[in-house]
Amino acid sequence: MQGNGLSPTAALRSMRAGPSSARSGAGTPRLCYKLKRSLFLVSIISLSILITASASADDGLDFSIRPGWGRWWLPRNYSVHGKSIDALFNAIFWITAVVGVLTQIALFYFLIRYRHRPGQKKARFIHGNTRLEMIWTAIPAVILGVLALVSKGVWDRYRYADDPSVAQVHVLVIGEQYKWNFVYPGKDRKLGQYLVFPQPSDPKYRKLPYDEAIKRINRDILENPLGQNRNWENDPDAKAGQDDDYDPNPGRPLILPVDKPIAIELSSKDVIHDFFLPNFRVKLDALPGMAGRINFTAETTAQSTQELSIDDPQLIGKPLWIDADTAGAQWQPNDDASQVSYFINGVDSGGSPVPVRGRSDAMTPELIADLKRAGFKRLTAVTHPFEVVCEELCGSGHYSMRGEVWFVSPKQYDAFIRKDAPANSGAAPPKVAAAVKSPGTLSAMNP
Amino acid sequence: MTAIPHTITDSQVASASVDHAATEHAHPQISFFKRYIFSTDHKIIGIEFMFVAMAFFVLGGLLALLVRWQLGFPGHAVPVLGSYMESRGWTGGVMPPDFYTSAFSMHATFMIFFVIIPLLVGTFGNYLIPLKIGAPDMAVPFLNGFAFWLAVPSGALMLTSLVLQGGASQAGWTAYPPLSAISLNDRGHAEYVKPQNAFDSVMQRLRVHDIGGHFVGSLQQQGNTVSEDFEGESSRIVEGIRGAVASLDWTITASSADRLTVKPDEGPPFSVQMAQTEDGGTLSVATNDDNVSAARKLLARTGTRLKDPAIVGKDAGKAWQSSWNNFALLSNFGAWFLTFMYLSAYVVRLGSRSINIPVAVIVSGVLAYFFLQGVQIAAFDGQSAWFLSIIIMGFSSILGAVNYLTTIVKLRCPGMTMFRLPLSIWALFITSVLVLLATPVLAGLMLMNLLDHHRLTSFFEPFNWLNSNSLQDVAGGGNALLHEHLFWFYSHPAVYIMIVPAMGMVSDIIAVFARKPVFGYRPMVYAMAAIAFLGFIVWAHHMFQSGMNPTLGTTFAISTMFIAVPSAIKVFNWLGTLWGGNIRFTTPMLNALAFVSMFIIGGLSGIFMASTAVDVQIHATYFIVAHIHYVLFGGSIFGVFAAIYFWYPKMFGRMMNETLGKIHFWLSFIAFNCTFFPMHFEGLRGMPRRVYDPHIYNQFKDLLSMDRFMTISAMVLGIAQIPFAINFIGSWIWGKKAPGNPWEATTLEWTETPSPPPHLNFVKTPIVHHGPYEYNSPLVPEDWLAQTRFIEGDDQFAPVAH
Repeated sequence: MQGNGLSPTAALRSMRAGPSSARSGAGTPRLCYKLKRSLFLVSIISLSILITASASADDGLDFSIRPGWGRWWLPRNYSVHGKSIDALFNAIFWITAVVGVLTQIALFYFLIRYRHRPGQKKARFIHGNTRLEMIWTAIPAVILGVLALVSKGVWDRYRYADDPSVAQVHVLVIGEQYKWNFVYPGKDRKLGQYLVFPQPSDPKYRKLPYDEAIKRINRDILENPLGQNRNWENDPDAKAGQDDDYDPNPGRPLILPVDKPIAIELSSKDVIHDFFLPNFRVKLDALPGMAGRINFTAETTAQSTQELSIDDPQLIGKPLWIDADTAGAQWQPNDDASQVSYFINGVDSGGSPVPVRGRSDAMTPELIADLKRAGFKRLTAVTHPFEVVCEELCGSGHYSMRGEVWFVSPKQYDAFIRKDAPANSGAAPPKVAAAVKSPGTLSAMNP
Repeated sequence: MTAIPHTITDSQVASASVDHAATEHAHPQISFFKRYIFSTDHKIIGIEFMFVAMAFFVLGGLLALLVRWQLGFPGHAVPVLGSYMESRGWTGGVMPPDFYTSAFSMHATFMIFFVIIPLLVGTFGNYLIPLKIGAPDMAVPFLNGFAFWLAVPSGALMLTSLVLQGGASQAGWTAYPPLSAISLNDRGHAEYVKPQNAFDSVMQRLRVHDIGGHFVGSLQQQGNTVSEDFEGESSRIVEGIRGAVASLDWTITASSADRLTVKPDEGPPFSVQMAQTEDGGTLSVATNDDNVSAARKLLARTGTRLKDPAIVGKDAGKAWQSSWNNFALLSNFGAWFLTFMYLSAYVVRLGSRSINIPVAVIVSGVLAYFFLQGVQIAAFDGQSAWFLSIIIMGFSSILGAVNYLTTIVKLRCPGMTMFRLPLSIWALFITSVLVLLATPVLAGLMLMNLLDHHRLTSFFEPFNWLNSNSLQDVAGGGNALLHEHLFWFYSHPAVYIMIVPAMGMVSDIIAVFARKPVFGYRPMVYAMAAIAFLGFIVWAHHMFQSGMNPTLGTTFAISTMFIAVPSAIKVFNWLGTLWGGNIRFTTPMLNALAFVSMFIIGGLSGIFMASTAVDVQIHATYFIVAHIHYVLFGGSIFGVFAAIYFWYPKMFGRMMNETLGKIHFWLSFIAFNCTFFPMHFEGLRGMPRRVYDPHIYNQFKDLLSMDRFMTISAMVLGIAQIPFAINFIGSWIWGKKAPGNPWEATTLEWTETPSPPPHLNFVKTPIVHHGPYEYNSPLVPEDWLAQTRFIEGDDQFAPVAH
C-alpha cells in the first residue's frame, strides 16, 4: 500500500523513534553543531586574514579611491550627476542590506529553533496565511516601485542632460581594436564628420576591378583612419572638421575641462566597445554605426593638474603640463613630425637650450634639475590622471584598451584648444608641417 | 469537484499489469541497446542527460579555474597545462590573452547550455515528471529520446569548436556581433594534405575538400600534359597502352621504345611519352587542349598499377581541405551516427533484428556522412561551430519542452489535479512554457549570426564596417543592437529556466525535511507564473548602457524592479515553511537551505542592477559576475546538488554516503562564498569583466590580493567536488540498497514505486487523494501522509483547502 513494504505498526514505531536517528548519520544535533561551529571559526579566521592583508592602503590612488575601507567600495565620485547616483546606490544598499540581514537571521534562527531534537513537538500543520502573503507582496512591491521611480529621475538627469542652450565642450571618442581615438574640435569648437569610409562604388574607385578597389581603399583608410569627411570645399558639415585636432598615435590622453558641461560623441570603428570612467559614473557602449552621446560635468576637485614648487618630490614620475603662461616656454617641432619638443627659454650651463619632451613621459629628476637651472620656480604636473576603461569585450586585446583622461581648468583647456603658443616666449609659433596636425601645447605631449 | 482526468483507461491498466510486471525483465525481447542506450524510457534519458551534463561540468569547472589562475597569478606559468602548451607557443607557460578570452567564453557556454539546462530541465524534468504525476512515461517517449540524442551532436560540435583552426569562440557567451562575425581562421580552408596511410585516407573521405574541381585520383595534369605515375616495367606499360588504344579503337601512328603517337577517333593525334623517373616512372601524354579528355581516358585505361596518387589538376594552388582535424571528424561523425541510430532503432522495422540492424547501421552511416559534410561547411571555425551547436541544442530543448507540457497536461493520474501537483512539477511546467516561447528566438538569432559570420548577410554590421582597418565585403545596413535585443529576449527567460526548476525542487526538499507543508502553495505557484510572465518583459535590463533609447531603459527598469517581488514572495514562503517545522539536516536539506540563503544574496544584488542609474557604474563589472554566480551557482547548482542527493536513491537504488555529502557541502559552501563574495567589491570599484589583465589599470592594481584569495578559494571549490564524485560513483557500486521511500516523503515517486522504478513506473495507476505536502497531518499518527493514501471519511476527490 505504501510501497516500502513496512507494516503499519512497524512504520509507526520507526516514526516515533525519529527517522533522523536511522537516517541522518552525522546529522545528529551535537555533531552538527560541532561541525558548524568549527567551520564557522575557520571561515572567520580566514576572512580576518584576508581583511587585514588587504586593508593596507595604496598611496598612489588616494585621489581615486576612498581612503581606508574605501578600497572595498565605490571609487570617489568627481561628477555632478554622480552624486545622485551615489545617493541612490546608498539607499538601495541600505534597503537590501537590512532586508538581507534580517532574512538571513530569520533563516538561521528558524534552523536552530526548529531543528529536530528528541522530544521536539510535532511540526505545525499549516498551509499558509493569505494576509501575510498580501503584506509581504505589497511592501516589497511598494519599495521597489519607489526605487524604480527614483531611478528614473536620476537616470533622466544623466541621460537627458543634453542642453544645447548651454555651451558644451565637444569631443569625439572613437573606439577601435585596441585603442581610443580622441578628436578635439579646433578653434571653431565644432567637430567635423567622421566614420565616412570609402566604398567601392565611389567615383574614385568605381572604374577599378573590385579587388583592386578594395586594396586601394584599405590603403586610403590608413591615411585617414577615422574616415574624416575631407570634402571641405563642398560640404559645409565637413568644413568644421578642417581644423580638428586628431593624432593617430595611441596613448594620447583625453583632455577635458572641469566645471563645464562636456558632450562626448561616442562611436566605434569596428566592434562594440564601452567608454567607462569609474570616477565619474559615466558609461556608454560604443557601437559601430551608432552615434552615442555622453553628457556630464566634472567637479572642480577633479582637476588632474596641479602647480607645485619645483622642489616638490611629487613631480618625479608625473607628466609635465606646459601652460600657455609657463614662463619662458618656447616651442618648436623637431624633425620627427609626430613629436614636438619644447625648448624652454633658458639655457643650461653650456649655453644650449634645454629640451623638454612632453606627454606622458614621466619627469625624471634630471629633467627637473635642468628646468630648475633654466630658471623655473614652479611647474604644473599631471598628478591626478584618470583612466578610461573599455568595458565591453572587443576581442583578445580588450584588456589593453586603457585610455587616460586629464581634467584641466577651463583656462588651461581653452589654451589647449586654441593651440596658443606659450606666452612670454618672445617668438611666434612656427608654422608646422601639415602632417603634424596638432601643434598645440598638449599634443606636443604625444610621442 | 474537479474533473478527474481519466487518461489511462481500465483496459490499459489491466494490460499494463499483465504485460509489464514490476521487474526489469518486462520486455525480454528489447535489446541491450534499446533498453539502456537508445532508450525511450524517461528515466534512462534523464540519467543520460545527467552524465553528459556532469562531464561538461568538469570541463567548465576546469576552464573556470584557468580563468581564475590568470586573474590571481598573472604572468605565472599555468600548472600542468603551461608546460604542455609551451611547445605550442605559450611563452614561459603563461596563458596568452586569446586563450583566456576563449576560456571564459567557453566556461559560460558549457555551464549554461550544457550543464545547468540539461541538468535541471533535461535530467530532472525527464526523471521526475512522469513519476510524480503518476504516468507510465512521457507523452511521446520517442520524441523525448530524440531530444537527448540531438543534444549529443550539439555537445560534440561544441567540443569540436575548441580544436578547430583559429581556436574556440572569443566573443563571450553573449556572442555580440560584430565581434562574433569576425573569423580568426581563413574560412576554414587548410592546405590539402595527401593521406599518408589508410587511416588518413578514411579521414580524408570524411573531410570536406576540393582538389581543384577536376578529378580525384591518380591522374595529374599540368598545362597540356596529362601524366600518371606507374610502377613496373616500361615494356609492360607500353603493352598496356597498346591494349588500351586497341580497346578504344584508336590508332597508333608511330611508336618507339618509350614514345607512342596515338590518334583518337576525334581530334588530332597526341604523343604518349614514358619517362623513367627516380622512384618509378611517369607516363605523360602531351596534348593540346582539345585532347585532354581523350588523353585522360587513355591513361585511365592503361591498367598500370597506381603508385602514390598525386594531387591536383590545373588549379593546384586552390586545393584545400576543411580545418577539421581527426578528433573533430570522428567525434562528430560518431555523434550524428548515434543520433541516427536512435532514430533508426524505432523507424526501421523491416523484419527481424538481423535485417533491421544492418539497415540501420548503413542508413545511419550514410546520413551521418552527409550531415558531417554539411556541418563542416557551416562550422568552418570555432565561432561558427558555436553558433551551429547552439541552434541544434535549441531544437533539443524545444522538443523536450513540448513533451513535458503535453505530459503534465494530459497524463496526470486520477486525483492529481493541477493544484495537487508537487511544486517541482509546477516549476517544470512553467519552465517548459519559457523554453517553448524563448528558445526559437535563440535558434533564429544564431542562424542569423551564422550567416553573418559567413559574410552572406549583414544583419548586425553597419555600413562601412571595418575590421583591422580593412573595409569588409558586406552589404552593411545592420545594427548590432538587434542582436542584443534578440539575444536577451531569449537569455533572460533562460536565466529563469535555470532557476525555476531548482526553486521547485528546493520547495519539495524543504517540505520533506522540515516535515511541514510548503507555506503558501498557491502563492508559490502564482509567483513562479509571475516570474515567467515578467521574465519576458525585462530583457533589456541587460542593455541599459548599450546606447538604446534611455526611456526604453526606464520601462525595463520598472518591470525589472517588479520581478523581484515574486522572488521575494518565494523566499518568504520558504522561510515560512521552515518556521514551526521539525528540521532534519540531511545533505539534501543542507543544500536546499544553502540555495535559499545564496538566492537571497543573489537576488538582492540584482536590485542594484535593476536601477538604471546605479547600473551605470556596475554594468559589465565584477559586480555582475558576482550576481550571476550567486544565483547560478549559489542557487541553481546547490539546488542541483540537493536534487541529486535527494533523488539519487530513487534513481540508482542506493543510498549516498551522508558523511561525504556533508564534507562536500560544507567545503563547497564556504569556498563558494570566499570565491564570489569579494567580486561584489571588485565590481563596485569598476573592475571590468572579461579582461585578461585588469591590473594594467593603475586603479585596479591593488585588487590583486583579492583576486589571489578568490583564485585559491576557487581551487578549494574545485577540490571540494571530489568527495561528491567519489560519493556518486562509490555509492552506485557499494552503497546501501535504498528502500522505496527512505526519506518518508509523500509524493508518488516515493510511495508508489520501488527504487529504482521499473519500466513504466507503476504496477497500478496511482490514485491521488491529497496534496503533495501533507506532513504532520492530524489525519494520521505518522508525520507524513502519502498522496495516494485514502483516509476513511476523507472525500477522495475533494481538492485540499488552502
